[in-house]
Amino acid sequence: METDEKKSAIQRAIEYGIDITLIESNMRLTPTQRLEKLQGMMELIEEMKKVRTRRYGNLIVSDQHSEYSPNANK
Amino acid sequence: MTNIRNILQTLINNDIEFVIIGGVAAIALGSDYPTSDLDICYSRTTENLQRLSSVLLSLDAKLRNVPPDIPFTPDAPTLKSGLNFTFTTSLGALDILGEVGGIGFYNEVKKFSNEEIVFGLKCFVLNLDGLLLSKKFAGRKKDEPVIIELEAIKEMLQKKK
Repeated sequence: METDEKKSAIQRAIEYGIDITLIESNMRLTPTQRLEKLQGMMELIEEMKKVRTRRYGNLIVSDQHSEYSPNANK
Repeated sequence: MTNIRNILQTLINNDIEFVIIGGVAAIALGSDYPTSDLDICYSRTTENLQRLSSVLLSLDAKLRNVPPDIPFTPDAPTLKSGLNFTFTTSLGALDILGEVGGIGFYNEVKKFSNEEIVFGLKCFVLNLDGLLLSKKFAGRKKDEPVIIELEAIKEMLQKKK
């Protein structure tokens, strides 16, 4: 059996559960296209948060000044 | 939501000396792990602190993870007396680091960066070696998959050469 040191970094990533095909796909993009993809993802998350608030109200704590933050005053 | 393009444009328009670091740098280099804030390492020269302070004030920057009633103004002396700050701004979450663990201050960080064109803007972006150094130095559990992924990206790039 191969030791971890002998495995390639790509092999280690696959075994860790990282989908290498997604990275390969990113590598075909320019840095700007990669960041545009991130921005699109952020917009989607923001929309999903709105859905969450519409459905559940503000039951879930704010992401900004969370009472669960280690710095929060309790 | 963080508007990466507009924050970068604002920083560049105001001649801020900075390097993109953290999750956004990782994504610019091919990582598939999303992030929700923009991290930069900034130069701590007096002139840059003054320019950065003006930008932060114009973006209505407030400290994140701090109760909103605690008074804070990101003026140049305050930035000089601190080092690393996490802000909420009118353009989203912006973290500014005077020092990157495992690398050093702006001048050292810049040596581990490459000039890239992002959103049509010339920006310095921390390179793979720099990202790996900083993430390994931080030693956070959450960075473990990112480190494994970045090492795979590094190997892919080496194989392409």
